[in-house]
Amino acid sequence: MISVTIKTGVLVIGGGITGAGILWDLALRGIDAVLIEQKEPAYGATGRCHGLLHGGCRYLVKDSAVAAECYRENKILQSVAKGAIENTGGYFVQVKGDDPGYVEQWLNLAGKTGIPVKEIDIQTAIKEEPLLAVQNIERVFTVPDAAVDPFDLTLMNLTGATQRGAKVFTNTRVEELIITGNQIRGAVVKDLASGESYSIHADIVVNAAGAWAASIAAKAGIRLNMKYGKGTLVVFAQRLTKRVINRLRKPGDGDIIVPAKSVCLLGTTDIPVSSPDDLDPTAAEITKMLNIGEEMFDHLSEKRILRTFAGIRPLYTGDNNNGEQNREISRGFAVINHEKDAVDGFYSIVGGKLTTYRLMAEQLVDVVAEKLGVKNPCQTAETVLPQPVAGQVKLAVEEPMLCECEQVTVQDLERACELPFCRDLHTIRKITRLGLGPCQGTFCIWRAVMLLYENQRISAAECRQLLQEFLAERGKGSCFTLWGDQLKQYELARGIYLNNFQLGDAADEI
Amino acid sequence: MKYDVVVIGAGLAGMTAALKSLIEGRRVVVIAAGENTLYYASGSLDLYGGKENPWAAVKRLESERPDHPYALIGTALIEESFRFLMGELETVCPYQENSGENVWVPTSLGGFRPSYLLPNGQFPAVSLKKKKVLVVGFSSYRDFNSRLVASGMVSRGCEARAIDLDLHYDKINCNSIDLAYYFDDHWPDLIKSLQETAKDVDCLAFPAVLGLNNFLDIHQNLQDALGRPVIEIPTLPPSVPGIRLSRAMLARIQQQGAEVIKGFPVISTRVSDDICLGVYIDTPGHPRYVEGDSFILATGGILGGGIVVSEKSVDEKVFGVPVEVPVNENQEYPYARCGLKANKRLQPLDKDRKVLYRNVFCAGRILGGYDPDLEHDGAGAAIATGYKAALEAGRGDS
Ligand SMILES: Cc1cc2nc3c(=O)[nH]c(=O)nc-3n(C[C@H](O)[C@H](O)[C@H](O)COP(=O)(O)OP(=O)(O)OC[C@H]3O[C@@H](n4cnc5c(N)ncnc54)[C@H](O)[C@@H]3O)c2cc1C
Ligand SMILES: Cc1cc2nc3c(=O)[nH]c(=O)nc-3n(C[C@H](O)[C@H](O)[C@H](O)COP(=O)(O)OP(=O)(O)OC[C@H]3O[C@@H](n4cnc5c(N)ncnc54)[C@H](O)[C@@H]3O)c2cc1C
Repeated sequence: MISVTIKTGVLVIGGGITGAGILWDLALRGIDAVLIEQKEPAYGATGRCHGLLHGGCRYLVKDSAVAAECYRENKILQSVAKGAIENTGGYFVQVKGDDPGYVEQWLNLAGKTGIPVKEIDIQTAIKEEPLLAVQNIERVFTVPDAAVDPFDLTLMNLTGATQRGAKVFTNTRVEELIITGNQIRGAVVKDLASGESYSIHADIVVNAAGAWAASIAAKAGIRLNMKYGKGTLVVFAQRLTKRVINRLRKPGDGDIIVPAKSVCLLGTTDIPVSSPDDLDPTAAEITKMLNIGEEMFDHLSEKRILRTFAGIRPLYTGDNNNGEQNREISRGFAVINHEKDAVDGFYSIVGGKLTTYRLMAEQLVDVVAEKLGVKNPCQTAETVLPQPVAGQVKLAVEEPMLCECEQVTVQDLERACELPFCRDLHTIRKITRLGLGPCQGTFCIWRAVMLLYENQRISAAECRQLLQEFLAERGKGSCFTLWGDQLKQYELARGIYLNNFQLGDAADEI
Repeated sequence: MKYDVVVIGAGLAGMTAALKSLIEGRRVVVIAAGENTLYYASGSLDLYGGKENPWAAVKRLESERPDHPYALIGTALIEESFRFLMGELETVCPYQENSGENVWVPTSLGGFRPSYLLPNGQFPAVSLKKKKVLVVGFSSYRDFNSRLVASGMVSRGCEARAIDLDLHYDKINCNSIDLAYYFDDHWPDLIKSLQETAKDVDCLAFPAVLGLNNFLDIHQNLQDALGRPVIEIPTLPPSVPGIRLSRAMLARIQQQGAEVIKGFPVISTRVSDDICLGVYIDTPGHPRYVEGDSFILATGGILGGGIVVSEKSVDEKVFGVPVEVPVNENQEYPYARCGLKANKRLQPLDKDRKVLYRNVFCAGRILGGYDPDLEHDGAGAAIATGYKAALEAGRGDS
């Protein structure tokens, strides 16, 4: 028996940046809404992206309209989402052998689009970014790129929305869509922690399931043409550059470094895969990226690597499906009203970028508001989002510390636990960055688990289970870069948890 | 000056080798880049495995896994090596007699892990059955949760309960070592705080932080004053019982007259055909050259620093002995059993199974063929091979 427990105006499926941005926009317009996420916030592409708040320059040659869009959104987000953004600025670097024709075209389009790009001399650039391979560099330009923390940005949108009455259910999966006649009525969802199913009734359902959007649409018998490109990222143990650094050529593999809090990310690749769950990086991808990275940065492959991971770029191919290479497909986005597929009140939003999420949300909610007869205009470009929960600089006060690498305090963890949508260690880690630094959680995950137990949020059996999950996940993140100091760190963790705490083989216990 | 035995590495293996060589009357130098893996280990010494009788397991390994260090040493010598080390440690860091079976020791996770020889202060779980145990935690020490440990004991048939003491300790963040130093001076506070509560219980369990320099006295005094057994539960590293063992061994070695050069790695060697003449130490200014008749290579595994893995290769850096990375049925960790290959005299072998250096002997985690984390044989292998390496080095092959 399925009992109706919830009624709402708009049901948003997907707790990535798109869904979170939509929920925030709806809340600001006073529209009652519920968001459903199958895992934790930013589980999908959002939490696996590069964290580059594009200034637009990467897309100038391919699609200068998208580039201009990025530049505008970048400026808006710098004012409303400060807490998630570090205005690092960026360099575009032309390396020997890169096509000078591309550079000229790029410069020309930057001028036309109005994106501020300025050439600087190589000596200045090297002084600012000593890792640049001086012998290989032809020209350097400054661009308005920035670094964005995708976890913070998503959580700020969700927090803002819930503060205004929206509801967020994590660890809850949409199982079926409820449709009567031509009208969408809501969805049947399952709480994955309790195993319980219930239905949510809504006037409007928004499919913001990212790479999984096709599978949600399929539940309404609708076919969405999507392609999937896997992108792999390498996380280094320190910030190797101050700025975002981009290779100035036709976008390719391994040609961007983005600083992110205490670490930095090199990426990415783009490999066609057949499903959104095809998430495993390969050793070959990583070697290839490090080799390409070495063309722009000296000694890159000797730097300490913390982990690798991959995300899936969901690309909507529209109605023409002519087998182009993935990177050629437009990064623009589409709002699809499924009235055309004979399901009224059902909308999908596909494609896009993290950088343009606000605009995507605005355009979708414009359509939804009109449908609902709500006249309130979009306010997300002017309304400042709440600050992130954790991660504020705390040099002055000495607080009890959980994670020395990322300076996460006991209070940070407790505040994170208080958030309505925080139900598991994954969410805690995204909110606080616990365990994302050089020791990769060897010590702080233990401490976090002890604290959760102390605060009676988890049972003794769950302590064991959480640590086991953590070890397994860490094994996956490290398996392609097991060398150097990070390998020692891995052995230490393995010794502590398998040897001292006997986590590998519970059956062998008395 | 030329030494009889040059020991490279001061972990459990190198220090066992040094001790045995000294007792045999050799002139010994110990060269160590830094601290060792005992700083992470629980302080209890594993022999092998869990439920299976460890000596039966050792016999089995001799035939089933000829690459396992135990198969190179043999049961009799393993036993002898344990007796030797326990004898040496008797007054400085005593370990308890063992009946020939594995014992299960409580962990900070509320579980139990198998081990073989326990230091004073650690107790097998069976001895706690049906007993009233008071698990004592410290509120500023977040690596140890007394309730979690107590709940684990309850699930195994003890009547455990937990309390946390508030220490008048001014550090907001402290780890096991901070506390151990604190209790070196402040242990009498524990008696004051616990005297009354202790009357209702059979035994008191603490995280293993009850002093670093004076543990034996503190432990004895606490037991006397509280009138109950006091046990220590190994913690998240740093491991205080491991550090006690490491320090006690080093002190003993120095007392027996070895020279110890600590803080600098061996970076290269001088060899003539299959004989090593000396090693260079990376001392400030210029490298120092140390000559010897025999050399014991006990530089540890990947964590200890003996084996260095880069993106492109896996190397033993001192002698350049090839490192075997056996194809691993356990895909979880490809380097679990990696290490050097040696013959029964523990001389390092090249790819064709030929002895590389006649007067070099390998001991401890630098050897391949075993996985201490899953098999629970780390200390046993270190002690047995360290002892054997000393015997072989003492024969004088050059
Ligand atoms: C490797 C890589 C690097 C990138 N780098 C950048 C960058 O630097 N800058 C930039 O601007 N953009 C970047 N992007 C693009 C950006 O990450 C995405 O455009 C954006 O994150 C998409 O967000 P989303 O919310 O639409 O999708 P997602 O983040 O994938 O969210 C969809 C959510 O829906 C949930 N879901 C799926 N099915 C169900 C169900 N049945 N029930 C409930 N929930 C469900 C999923 O769990 C998921 O959390 C990158 C993408 C990748 C893959
Ligand atoms: C977290 C953890 C917990 C463990 N717990 C237990 C346990 O509870 N019980 C148990 O029995 N086993 C345990 N083990 C396994 C056991 O501790 C090890 O297998 C054993 O201590 C290894 O000893 P070793 O002497 O071979 O190496 P190490 O202890 O690693 O010593 C190596 C020494 O060599 C030095 N060195 C390295 N390179 C050079 C160089 N070039 N020149 C000079 N010196 C050098 C190092 O500085 C160090 O002093 C544990 C292991 C880990 C990682």
